[in-house]
Amino acid sequence: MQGFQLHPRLEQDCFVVGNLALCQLLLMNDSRYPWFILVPRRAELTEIYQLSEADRPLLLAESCLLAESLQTLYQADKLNIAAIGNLVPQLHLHHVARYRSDAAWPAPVWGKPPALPYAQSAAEMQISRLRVALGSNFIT
Amino acid sequence: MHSPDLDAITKLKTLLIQQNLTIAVAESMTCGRLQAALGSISGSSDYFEGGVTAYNLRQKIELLGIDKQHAEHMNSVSQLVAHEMAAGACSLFDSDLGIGTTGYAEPNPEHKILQPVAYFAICRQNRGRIENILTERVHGDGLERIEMQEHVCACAIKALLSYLQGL
Repeated sequence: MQGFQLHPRLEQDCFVVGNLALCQLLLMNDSRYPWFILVPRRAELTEIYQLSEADRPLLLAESCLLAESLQTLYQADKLNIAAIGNLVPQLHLHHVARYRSDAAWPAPVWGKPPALPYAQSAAEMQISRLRVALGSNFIT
Repeated sequence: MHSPDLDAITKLKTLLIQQNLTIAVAESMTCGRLQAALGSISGSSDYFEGGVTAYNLRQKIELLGIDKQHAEHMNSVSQLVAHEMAAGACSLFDSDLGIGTTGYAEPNPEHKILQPVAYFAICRQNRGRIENILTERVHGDGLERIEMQEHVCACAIKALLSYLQGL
């Protein structure tokens, strides 16, 4: 993972949950939505195609693992998964559990400020639940 | 009104006593039904510490310490609110286990709720630290108000039984 450094904006807006084999896993500090982000721990990437051939299936596997865990935990009406990167160029993949009753439905969640920060204990709860759900796949 | 499932409540009693665990409840949408169910058999005071029905936001904040901002934004209905209610019940009654329930017992078009939906959470307190055991979403398509309240109550009891049976 030489040269990888989390973008300052992600560092500011998110809690670090931990590391999978390829990606760093983040929790967005916005209690309106269960919103997690995968950031491949590779330097200077902005697009998925820039991943090596070995890393591409890893990203898909980790995204599916996260999505499956989120669906189990949150029983969402829909999972929104997207790599946007218009504001933060570092390659990252959003995973958001969405409900028909949530604040932005049916629109996407992006660009709907202001975020509603978690109480510390609530963020810890979200993180610990996801760590348990990911189990042994969660390496650090 | 339907009677609680006495078979399930009796099994719950046996498991709680065997494992020397106490329980408390914080209810919103089930409006006391869970407490009534837990107290429906004799001897329940050995493990049932008590409960509160915190129906409005002010009471949820004052009695259970839920996060005001998040609850206001979610109209007090979310997984997090259910978790905070369960954790609040553990704290308030100093119990080993806590259950929280919140939801919409009937459609609420103002909040884009077309069918009843609810959340319940179970927390466990261990050496002063309260941890989430599970949080579930319950759908009640086509159910009437009281039916939905009873359905959520039955789901919470079933989930608690499963948890205790797995210990």
